[in-house]
Amino acid sequence: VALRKTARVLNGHAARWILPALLFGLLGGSGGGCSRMSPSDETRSQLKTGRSLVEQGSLLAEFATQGDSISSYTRGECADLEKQAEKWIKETKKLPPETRLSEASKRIQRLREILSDLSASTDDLPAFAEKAKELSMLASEWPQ
Amino acid sequence: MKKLLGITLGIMTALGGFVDIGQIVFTLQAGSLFRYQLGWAVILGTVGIILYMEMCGRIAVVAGKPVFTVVRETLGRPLGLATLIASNLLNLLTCAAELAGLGIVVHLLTGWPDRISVLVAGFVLGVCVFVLKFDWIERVFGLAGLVMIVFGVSAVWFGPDWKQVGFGLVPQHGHPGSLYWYYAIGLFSAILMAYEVHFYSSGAIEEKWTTSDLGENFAVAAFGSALGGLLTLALLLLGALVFMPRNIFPESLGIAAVPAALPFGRKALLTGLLGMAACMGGAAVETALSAGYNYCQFFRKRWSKSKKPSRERVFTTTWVGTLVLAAGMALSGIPALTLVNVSIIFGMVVLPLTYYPILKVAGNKAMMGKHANSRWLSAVGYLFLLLITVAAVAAVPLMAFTRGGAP
Repeated sequence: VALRKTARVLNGHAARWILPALLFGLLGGSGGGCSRMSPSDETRSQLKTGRSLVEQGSLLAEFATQGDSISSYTRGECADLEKQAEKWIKETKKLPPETRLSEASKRIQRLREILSDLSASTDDLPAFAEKAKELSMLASEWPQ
Repeated sequence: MKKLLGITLGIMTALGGFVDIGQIVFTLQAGSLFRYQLGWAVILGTVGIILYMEMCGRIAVVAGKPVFTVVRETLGRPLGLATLIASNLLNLLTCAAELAGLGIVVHLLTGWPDRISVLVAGFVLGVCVFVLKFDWIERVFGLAGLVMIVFGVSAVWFGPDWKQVGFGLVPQHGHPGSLYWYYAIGLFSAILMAYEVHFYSSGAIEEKWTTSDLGENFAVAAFGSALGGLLTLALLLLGALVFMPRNIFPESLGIAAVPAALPFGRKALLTGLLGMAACMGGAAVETALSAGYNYCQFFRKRWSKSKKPSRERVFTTTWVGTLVLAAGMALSGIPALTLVNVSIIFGMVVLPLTYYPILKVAGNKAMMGKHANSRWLSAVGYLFLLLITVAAVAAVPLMAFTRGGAP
């Protein structure tokens, strides 16, 4: 009986309450959009993103080392990661200066150089192995 | 025998067409952040889509009404029109996201410049849709999408801890974080995207299903979506097994192919990329056609993909226009993943306005006769509608608070 009553109420009013509820959600969302992260949260988030980029570079290089990749794929992915690294550097410059951020920036800069080298020589497997090792080291020493 | 073959083909097509760019990205990201803990959101979304897909197919067969006829008749003209505008904007956005994603895959496979890749992909899709009849469009893209199974094989190869996977299928206590809920809603929404029911119900009418096909409707909706749900679960496992231990948050579409390729090498990389291309191509076609179906159904214009395009001018102009506009958006340089995020979260907001009319008509005995929803099916349907509405209200605030799901 309770279910039937609930269903009847929903049938009668759903169209009327769904829209206001959704509008409320949208307005709440735009209000929430005005709130900003604190600088320390921003720094933490950027550090995580930066580490993820270096790890992705390391994974790609490691995969290519096995000779299993397709050269257009490796080139495309390296270029995309380079773009993401550039964006990371731009966003990090807006944050208050901090030792761990500048340490991370140096590593991201190195990531960019490595990616640029790798996309220039996708068939050079020994070079990939060497760079994969270096990237893995960069990631393992990532500033916390 | 012919019937059985038809059902098998339908299930395989539904499985191949289940995954799209949103599911690939959101599921891998969710796995990389929360391991198996959001498995329950995949299961919940899959049950929801089975329920509503079966209902909209049944309505199309019994009452002969596709989704936007039902929306207009149930919500009335003003609210129905608002739903049409929102749904078609969403179809445009999703189509743009799929085309941008397809462009990325073509670029990775061929090395062609980004924009050329999007243009070529859009052109080839447009020609395919123009030339092929409805059932062939469904079969070509659905069956090509089946190669995504390589992700499932890879997930099993990595040997997940099945006990932990099992725990993830039930929501656990102690996850109050907004990021967790953002991804829960994102997964739920990505599986329930409204264009799937727009396309499915219009397809039932295109293929002239009758009440003798209701069994096929149930089998395709239930088994096709259940297998698609398993494939989505495999992507979640891969996110947890490949990306999480390496502290990777996958923010590019290309990296999504690596988990399939790691165990099996070059051929698997190629298969994974082709599977992703088929899924995104299929979804781009479905969203463009859905825009045409929705518009024509709402304004009572003629629509059919099985007849000559010159006879169905409004329908043809709408889907072609949507595809061209979407290609323009994809070419504008807006990142594919930004389009994905926005389309999934706003998709959630529009869902209740599409699913409520379906539920109401499916339970209407005067219209559906003996094929109307049973009481328990209506009860489960309303429970899901409640969940969808709560998720819809929470979606945009969560998107803002988590800055689009940034870890």
